[in-house]
Parts: sequence; structure tokens; C-alpha cells
Amino acid sequence: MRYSIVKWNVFLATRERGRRVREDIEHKLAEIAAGATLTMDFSGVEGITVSFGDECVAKLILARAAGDYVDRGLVVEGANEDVHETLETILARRKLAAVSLTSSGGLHVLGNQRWLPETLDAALELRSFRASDLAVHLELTPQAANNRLRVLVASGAVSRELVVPEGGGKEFSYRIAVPAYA
Amino acid sequence: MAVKSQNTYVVSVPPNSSGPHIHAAINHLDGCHEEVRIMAGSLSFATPRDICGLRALLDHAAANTERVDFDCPTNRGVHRYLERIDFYKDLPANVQLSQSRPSIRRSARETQLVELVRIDAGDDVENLMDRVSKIADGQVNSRHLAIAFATAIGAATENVVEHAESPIGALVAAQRYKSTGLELAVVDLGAGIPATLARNPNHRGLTDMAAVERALKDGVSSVAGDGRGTGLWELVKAVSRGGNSTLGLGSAAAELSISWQKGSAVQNATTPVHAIRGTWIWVRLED
Repeated sequence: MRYSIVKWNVFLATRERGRRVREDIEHKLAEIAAGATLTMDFSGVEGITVSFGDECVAKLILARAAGDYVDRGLVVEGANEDVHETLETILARRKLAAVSLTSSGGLHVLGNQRWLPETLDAALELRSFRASDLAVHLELTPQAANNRLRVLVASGAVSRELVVPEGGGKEFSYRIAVPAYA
Repeated sequence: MAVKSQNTYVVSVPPNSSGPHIHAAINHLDGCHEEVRIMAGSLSFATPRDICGLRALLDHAAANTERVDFDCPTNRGVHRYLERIDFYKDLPANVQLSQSRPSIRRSARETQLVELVRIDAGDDVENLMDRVSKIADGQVNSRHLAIAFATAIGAATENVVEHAESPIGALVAAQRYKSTGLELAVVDLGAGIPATLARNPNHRGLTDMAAVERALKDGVSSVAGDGRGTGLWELVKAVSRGGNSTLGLGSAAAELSISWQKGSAVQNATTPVHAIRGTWIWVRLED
């Protein structure tokens, strides 16, 4: 599902506006099926203030970090240079990350970088996987793989679903959620 | 110069640069006069800052007295300019002008001026950002820098909407001059930077100047919490990227200006003669 941000305005400001847009996106996220992805399309948006972006985008990512809507994806697309720069600032300040689709079809990690690009690349290769698969792929401990996956799921690039393995118990299955890569 | 005559308060606006007189008058007008006369007959030139300040005084006077007489500039060009920049638009009902409003032919001048506008709500901020991006476009010759500047002005004015509790909202005007470039002003009569910042226990006990200086730093806000405190920091960042540029801020007993030239910044801090009500911001982007 594509969510066009510009329907609100070409320039976007204030926490109040950010809260309203975020709540609308949350409604749309609730409507889509598990495993589907919502693309926040910034095409046509000229500029956003930090307050707007923090209240809208950063709080969506924070909610994901707390476990909301993690069984579906969330990505950014169509951000111009200024919006891109503002989103970078907002997410880095909160030590959060999101994934943006570039005009050439590539992926760019916005905000907190560290090991996220490497982990995203691994997830793109694996597509659908368990934490143990990622641990093997990146030669990490299971704990380290889980820590990285927590941030990657919050970013929206990967969705997470609870599955019951054949032997019983429970574990999470991860799936790349970026359109065209899924 | 301000004169108290019986129950009428008279404010004399000098030909140029009326800032200190307006600050003094605003501080004196808090419901103890029946009538105010603003004598602007000799006004010969008004920058966006002067226009915002004069209208702030007029609105403040109208809200605190029964009647306001505004002596319009006798210079026809200045009187017409005030009309063109919407200084006389939506005047309070108890304001009387000494002259009728001139009839002018308006042509679109979006790249030359932003007419005086009152920012009360989020929609106003977003519309202002659009207007500022258009006037800045011609000045900085880069759409990206123009948007960054417009976004920073938006951030500064959304601060007023969300935190300042200004009875007049925020007044904004801008003009591009051939000789000096783009000038823009934002004026509100809210709580001001020192009082607003002191709502956060982390920023209490500062002098007014220290509070204004601290408010320009990243992450400093009247509200504790992550993701806050970016409005004025965004403005500093955007203006510093504008080449030869100046950012001025006045609030309470502090007036601060920062000028950037060829990449280096010079800061000038002064104590105004009269305390400044609310927050006054002015920006100049030179050619």
C-alpha cells in the first residue's frame, strides 16, 4: 500500500500535524494484511520541520520498536534532498533508523547507521529467515543477531511473525518487507 | 519617545528604526490607559522588523485600551507601501487611521516580498513556509537552500504556535532589497525565550542572555524529552548556510546577533535599553 504524504500539504510543520498524519498511517497499517508493506510516499513534499517529522516518522518507528505492527513493513520513498536530510537528523537524534527507497531503486538507511546497512544487505540475501540464519550468515552470536534484528524490524524493512516450530515452542520468522526486494 | 498625557498614551515613532520606542511602549501598555496614539507620521522607511513590531504594538494597544489612533505616514510612498505589505489589513475595530487606506493595484510579487501575515495555527506555518521558499528561491539561487531556509522559518514560527502563548500569534514579513538582499522578521509577544526555557528544570537560573544563547543549541527545549529543541537550532543552521548572512534575536533583556561572512561567524550580544516582550527574530541574507 502506498500512502501519499503530500495529500496533507506540500510543506508540513508542527507536532499536531505530525500526530494527525501518524494516526492516519497507523489506521492504514492496521488495515493491511500481515506481511504486506506500507510505503510512506513523500513525492511532492517540499519540506518538513523536525517537529513534524519527529512526531510522525520517529514515533512510528518507536512504536514498532515497542512491538506495534511488526508483522508488516514500513518504508520511505520519494523524499527530496531536504526531506531526506531532515529525516536523517530526526532518526539519528533518537538513535532510530528507517529505510528509504531511492529514485534509482536502491535502498538507503536513514538515521542510525552502525551495523544496519550490513544487516539489511544480509536480510536482502536471505529474504525469509530465522535469527539463527542471520547469525550464521554474519558470523554473529544468536544474541547479537537478535539485537540487530530488533533494530531492523523497528526500521520497517523487515517484518516479524511468531511461528511454532515442528518441535514445539515458539520463535520468530523474519521476512524482508521492502517492495521489489520481498 | 513615549509621552503619558492624562489617560492618553502617545507613542512617537521616529523616521527610522523604531525598535526601542516600540519595546518601551509595549511594556507600558497593560490596561491602564483609555486611548493610545501612535504617531507614525514621520515614518520614512520601514524594514520587515519595523513593520512587524509596529503592528505588534498596534494590536497590543488595541487589546489593552478602548481606542487606538494611528497617525499614518505623511509620505505617500510609505503609506502605500504599508498598504501593499498588508500592514492595514484586518485592523482591530477600535483602531482609527488618520488617513483612508490608499487604493493600490496589486501585482504578484511572490519573489520580492511576503506580506505581513499572522501565524496562529499549523496551517498558517505551512502556508508561510511555501511563501518563504518562493522569496528565498530568488535570493539564494538554490531550491534546496531556499527550502531549508523556509523550513527553518517554519520551525521558528511553529515554536510560537506550540509554546509561546502569544496573544497576537507570530507576525511575519519579508522583503528583498536590491542593495542588501532578503530581510525577514518574526515577532511575537509571548512569554519570551528566558521564561519559556525556564519551564524545563535543566535550563533554570540562567541570565536572559545565557538563556537566549542556550536556546540556539541543538536539543535545548522548554519540554524535556528526546526529539525536542530544534526550532532555533534549525534557524541558525539554515541562516549560516546562506553565505553572507545575519541572524538576530531579541527577548527580555537580551539581544543577540550572529553574522556569517566567508564561513566565519561573529556574535554580538547587547542588553537592550527596554526589555523586549516576547521574541523578535530577524534575518538578513545578502547577495
